[in-house]
Amino acid sequence: MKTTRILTCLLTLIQGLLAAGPLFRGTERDPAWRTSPGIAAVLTALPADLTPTLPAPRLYREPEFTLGETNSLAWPADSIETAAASAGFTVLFYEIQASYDADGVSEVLWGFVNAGTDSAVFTGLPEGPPVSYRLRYYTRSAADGFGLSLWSDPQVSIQDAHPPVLSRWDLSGLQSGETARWIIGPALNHRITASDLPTGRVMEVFVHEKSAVVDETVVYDIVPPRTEVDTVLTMNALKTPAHQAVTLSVWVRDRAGQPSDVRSIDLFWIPVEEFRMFSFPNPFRPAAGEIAVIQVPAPDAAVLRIFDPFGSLVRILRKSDAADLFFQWDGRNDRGDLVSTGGYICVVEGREKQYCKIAVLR
Amino acid sequence: MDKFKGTGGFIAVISLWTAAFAFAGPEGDAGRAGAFLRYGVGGRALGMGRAFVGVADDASGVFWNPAGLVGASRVEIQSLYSNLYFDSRYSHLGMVLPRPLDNPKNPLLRFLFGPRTAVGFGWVGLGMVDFEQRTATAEFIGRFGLEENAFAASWAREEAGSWGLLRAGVTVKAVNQGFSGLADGAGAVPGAEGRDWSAGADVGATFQPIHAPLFRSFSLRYVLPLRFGVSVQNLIQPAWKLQSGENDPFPRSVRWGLAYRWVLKDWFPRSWQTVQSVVEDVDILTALDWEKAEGSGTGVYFGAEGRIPVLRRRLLWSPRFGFNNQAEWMSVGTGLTVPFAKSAAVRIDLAHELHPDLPNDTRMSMTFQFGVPRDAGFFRRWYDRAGGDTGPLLNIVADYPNPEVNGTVKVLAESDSRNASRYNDLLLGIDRAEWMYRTAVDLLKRNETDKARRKGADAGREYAALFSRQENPLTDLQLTHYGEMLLLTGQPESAVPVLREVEKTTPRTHYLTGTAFKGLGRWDAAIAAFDSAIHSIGVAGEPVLNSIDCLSALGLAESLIRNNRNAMALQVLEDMLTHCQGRLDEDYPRYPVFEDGYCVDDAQLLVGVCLIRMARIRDGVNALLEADRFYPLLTNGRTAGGMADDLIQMLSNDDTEGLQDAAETLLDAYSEAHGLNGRNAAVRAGR
Repeated sequence: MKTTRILTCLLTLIQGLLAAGPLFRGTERDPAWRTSPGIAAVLTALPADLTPTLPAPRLYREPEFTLGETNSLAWPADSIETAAASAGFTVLFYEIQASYDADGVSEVLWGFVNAGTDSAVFTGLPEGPPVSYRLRYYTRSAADGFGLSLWSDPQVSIQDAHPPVLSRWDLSGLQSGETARWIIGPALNHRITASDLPTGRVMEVFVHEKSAVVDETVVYDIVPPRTEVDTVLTMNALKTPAHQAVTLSVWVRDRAGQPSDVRSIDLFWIPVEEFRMFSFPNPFRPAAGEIAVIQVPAPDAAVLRIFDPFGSLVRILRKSDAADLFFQWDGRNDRGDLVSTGGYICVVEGREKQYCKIAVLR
Repeated sequence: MDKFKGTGGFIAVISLWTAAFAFAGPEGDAGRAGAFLRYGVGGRALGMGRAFVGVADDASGVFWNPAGLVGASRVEIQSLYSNLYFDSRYSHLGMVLPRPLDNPKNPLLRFLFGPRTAVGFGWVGLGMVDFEQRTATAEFIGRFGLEENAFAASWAREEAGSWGLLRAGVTVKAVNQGFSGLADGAGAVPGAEGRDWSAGADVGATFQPIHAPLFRSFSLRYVLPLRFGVSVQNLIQPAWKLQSGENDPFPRSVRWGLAYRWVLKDWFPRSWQTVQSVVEDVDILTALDWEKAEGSGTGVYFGAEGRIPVLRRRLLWSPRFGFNNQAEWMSVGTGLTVPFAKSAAVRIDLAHELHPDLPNDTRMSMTFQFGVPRDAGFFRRWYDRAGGDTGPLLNIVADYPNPEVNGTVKVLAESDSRNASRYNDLLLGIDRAEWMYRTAVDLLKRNETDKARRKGADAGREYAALFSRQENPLTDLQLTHYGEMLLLTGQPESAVPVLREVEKTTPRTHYLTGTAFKGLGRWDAAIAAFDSAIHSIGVAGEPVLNSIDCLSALGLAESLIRNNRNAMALQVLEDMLTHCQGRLDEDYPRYPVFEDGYCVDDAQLLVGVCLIRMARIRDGVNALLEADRFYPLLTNGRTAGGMADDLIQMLSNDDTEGLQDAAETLLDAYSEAHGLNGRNAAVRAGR
């Protein structure tokens, strides 16, 4: 009967202590996650004068930027608990704390996890201000009763929830038609425009070349990393052979490792020595939706005329962009009718007259 | 003049109206299937700006208008080779066989292959090379080419009637298209790496009016050179097969037009000897076509071709030019026909076409002609052989001008009296002059004096053109006729030298000469001429004076009276009155005008004048009273017969002076009535 009364008093005391909360809780926030009943009971039984004397644990290193609004803290629970056991202590649970200043107000998040747990996740972390994390553990020994470690060295990390934005990517010299894109020669000159939030930094540009024979990504560092990037990068020449389809993809990545959206373009390149007037595909099938491209290396040529073999006018074409070095033909005459199967002659007049032949298959 | 001005004016109006459309500028409407058939073949047609539907009278007619093949004169083999733009080649080979069978007896064979038919064959091919085959990534694979061919056969027939010559024909054709040299990667499509075949047909017609109603008011001379043509290309449409399984048909096109051959010598006055000598045998063919094809704007084509004999007519040179509202808007060309055997010739034609954007290029064709020509001589022999059928004669007339026309129109005029005048209008040379003379005389016989004088003027011009030649080809009779026409038109001063050229003079010649001198007031010369005209009177029996004698006697008497030899005049008149039948025969010369064929009253009046002049007043008055025909001549308000009352009154009053004045008045009235410029007496009488 006496033993029962003692145990009951102890439980009541523990509950009371728990109700009073832990000694080093910080602000009035609730724990970041629900404290398990076992931990709560221990917290209630802890003496009010419990002082941290045990060796501080170690938190694994945190990166400078952490992606998103959550962060997962990790620590070597095995080695901590083994070391404590060697010293005659049993680790009961860990306390983890995250603190930051938001709009001039200090905020602290905290939570407890059972021994044996080697990580904890904080969610809802703000983007921008550095968040400082620290860890300590609670023990029990047969000789000394409850024990408390010192706080670990703080680990700081900044949350970055927004990926960078690749706002512009231009390939210099790209000839862009309705159904074909190409460049003259394999050299690439990219103009990149990217940005991140003011607390973010664009660090790298990735260029991926994929074709039937090449699948390679080249990374170009932005030095120094910066929030706004507007630069022309002269990159390695395409490795895909001429006249073969290649998909070129570009994206950027910030310091948090977040990639931007990927922009891709399908193109091919033609050798410089082939930069003269011709049409492709030849023959072409307008009824199947093909568009014939007539390459014209004459920037001053504004008008291209198409004739049949007898000199009758079929169509007058004009460039959609004065900077283009090509014309496009949908296989229709000026009346809008699809022309018949046969051969036609394209004539352009710039500094000098140039001609090429084009065949239509229907 | 009016009759041909209408024809020329009609053509000029059409040309100007068309010129307003001619320069509308090319539309980008090309690219239709079968363009290689619409382009046109033959250096001649291309040199004429491709205005050829109304002509088409050579081997190229297989593709222009099969109906025109019937107009081919000889068997022809024609070839054309031309480099189109950028090494594209365009070739044509054609043949025409006019009247394939000479004279088949079988009616069906005669209908199909007889002398009014023609057959033709032709091939035209387009070849384009050196296309660069490239993939969608512009990779060069190789070179390929394109070919399009058409093989055609034509049949045509004509029908001849007085309304004109109608020709109709049909061409059937097989066409193919194919690509060569395409790499397998291009994929198999209809027409690629194989041949796409199709078939079709064209029809055509031409019409050359002769007496067709719309043209009857125009002279045949200016109607015969006109031809209308119409053709429908791809009436049965060939079509290329498409990959989708559908067809791409050749657009149907209708071409219509007219052609006119300007026979230059008919457009200049015959009196312009120098010009006539230059333009003799020279003509200019003009043609005007319109074309409307499905899916295209209206094409307008105009062309001209000269036909000029050169090197003493051994060669025929044909300069050409044309323009249209297509891309190749203008062309110039030339042709030379060189005979090299008795019935063979070769014609070389060059055509150069101008293009605003593409390099100008030249086309050359060569045509061999051989065999007996289907010309006027052929039709004449056909007519002589067949007899009775005037159809071949219509062909001769339709081929105006040619050496057989004169003989032919005479036959046709006799068999077709309704159109005789139009046929005779085709006569040339002395035949034309003589026809005009006969027409003038017929008009005089019908008392249509004004018309007769106009026709006489025309006849005079025709005679003058012949008379003025260095070697005057006119016979004595023709000179006499010429002189008559000069007198009819009041030109006695010109008639005298003409009549003097007559070698073997006749009484008619002398009468006309006397009339001419009388008209000039040269009484002595007139008296001598009239005297020569009159047969001697007083031979045994009572010879009846013929008309020439009577008229000569009247002329002589009038001249003697004017020469104040009244007694001699009275003698001549009394002799005439004794022996004259009274009524002139049908063939008397009606100039000066004697409209009713009676000359007794004329003599009686002159007798009265003579007697009064000789102071035998009462006898003179009695003679005048017997010449009652002349009283209505007076226009002083006196009624018919009123003069007689005056004469009787003056005789009663012994008014010698008045009677002499009356006699002179009557003499003047007589001279005016029978003078060269006198009006028809019947008109004056109000009859």
